[in-house]
Amino acid sequence: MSAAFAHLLVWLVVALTVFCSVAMLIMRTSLERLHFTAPVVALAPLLLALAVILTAGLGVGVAKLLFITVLLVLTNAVLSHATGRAARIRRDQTWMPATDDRVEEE
Amino acid sequence: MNMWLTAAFALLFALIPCAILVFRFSQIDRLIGLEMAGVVETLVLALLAQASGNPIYYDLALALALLMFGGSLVFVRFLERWL
Repeated sequence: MSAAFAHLLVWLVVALTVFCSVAMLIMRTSLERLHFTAPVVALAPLLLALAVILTAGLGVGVAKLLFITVLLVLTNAVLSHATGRAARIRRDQTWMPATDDRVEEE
Repeated sequence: MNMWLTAAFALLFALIPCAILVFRFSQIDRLIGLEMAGVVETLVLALLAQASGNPIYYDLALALALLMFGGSLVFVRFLERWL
């Protein structure tokens, strides 16, 4: 039963990654594309760690996989922000919001 | 061929859209494709490490995740400055 569940989790990781990769290609703008890295980074290594726990139990491999998950989540947050910032600077020539971006105060 | 190895090979298909993005789109889109490819490759290396049964190989995935972060940040800084 747990082996079948591990199979399901691993193929879920593959499906999620391929789906996000294709969706990234289909999107129209850079900022829309940037969103599709997050599910792969946050969910895929976690599901993979769960599949490894189900098949091999807890061990050094699982600890390293969880560390990779934490590392990917932290670094991807920084990278996504920096890439979005660079995309905005290249599009608008400035990082500062334009006047029509600001919310009008009542 | 066990489940982990099959999944690792299947995951390589996720690199095709990244390659299209890198070869055919604008500079920022190319960087996004590179970042996504780095994450996919990290997952592939983790699957290969599990397939080999030796946890020492997880260090390769760990090293790639760290190096992709540094490399992508350098690219972002250059793109911000219009180089």
